[in-house]
Amino acid sequence: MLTRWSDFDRTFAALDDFRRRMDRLFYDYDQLRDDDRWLSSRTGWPAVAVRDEGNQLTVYAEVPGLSDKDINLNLNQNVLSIAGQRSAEVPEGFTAHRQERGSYEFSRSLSLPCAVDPERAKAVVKDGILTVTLEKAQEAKPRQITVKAR
Amino acid sequence: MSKELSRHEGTRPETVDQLRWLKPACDVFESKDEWLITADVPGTKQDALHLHLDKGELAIEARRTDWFDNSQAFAGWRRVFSLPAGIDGSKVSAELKHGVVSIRLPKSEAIRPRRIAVNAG
Repeated sequence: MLTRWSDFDRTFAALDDFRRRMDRLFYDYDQLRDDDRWLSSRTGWPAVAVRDEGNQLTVYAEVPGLSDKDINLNLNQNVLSIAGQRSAEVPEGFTAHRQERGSYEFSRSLSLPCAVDPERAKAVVKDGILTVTLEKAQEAKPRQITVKAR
Repeated sequence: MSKELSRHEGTRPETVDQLRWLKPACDVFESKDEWLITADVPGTKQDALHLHLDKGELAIEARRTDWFDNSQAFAGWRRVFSLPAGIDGSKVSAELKHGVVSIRLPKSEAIRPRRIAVNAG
């Protein structure tokens, strides 16, 4: 009787595999149509990038429409959280035909890849891009190792 | 068909320009006097934003120069809208603030809705 069950399992495994392949197909199709979509719908809001620049980490976030007052930044150990609110409401006297720019109440947390010096963290927002500069902690900075010939 | 040609069957043509353009998220609003289009174009400076109004089409093109999307070989934002009839092209104005561009397209006088007075006979 037990062997029957394993046959059963195999059937389901095959179905699972089929489903995975179908998912993959849809995913590939979506990738092809990628440029038809706006960045925010792909990656969550705001879109974020982290760059390792040797002695520092730079975090970029696309925050169109936000000024410094709308953004809350928090650094706790090596977790950086970006939170805030963006409203994109219909202006007075107008009716909406198309609304793709959403109103967001957002909060994103990023685990940084190494320890940073919280005292020297800096953040600037300009043209809808938030740039956070985080100096690495001394022990996390890269160092050159000299190679000696013998 | 020769073998050489048939080998390329099913290959999608590729563009010469490797940089990709993305469509910005846009809102379109209408009031009785004007249309208002707003687009999220973060990372765009004023001199890199180009708006073209031609043959009833509005093209928004915002080239990016910041690092953010160089990593994705990303040229910027581009989107074209077909506009409804009756826009006064000479009065179109645009403003770029915090990475959001707002374009105001006033309706021409002729198509604005108006109240028609009824005279008692």
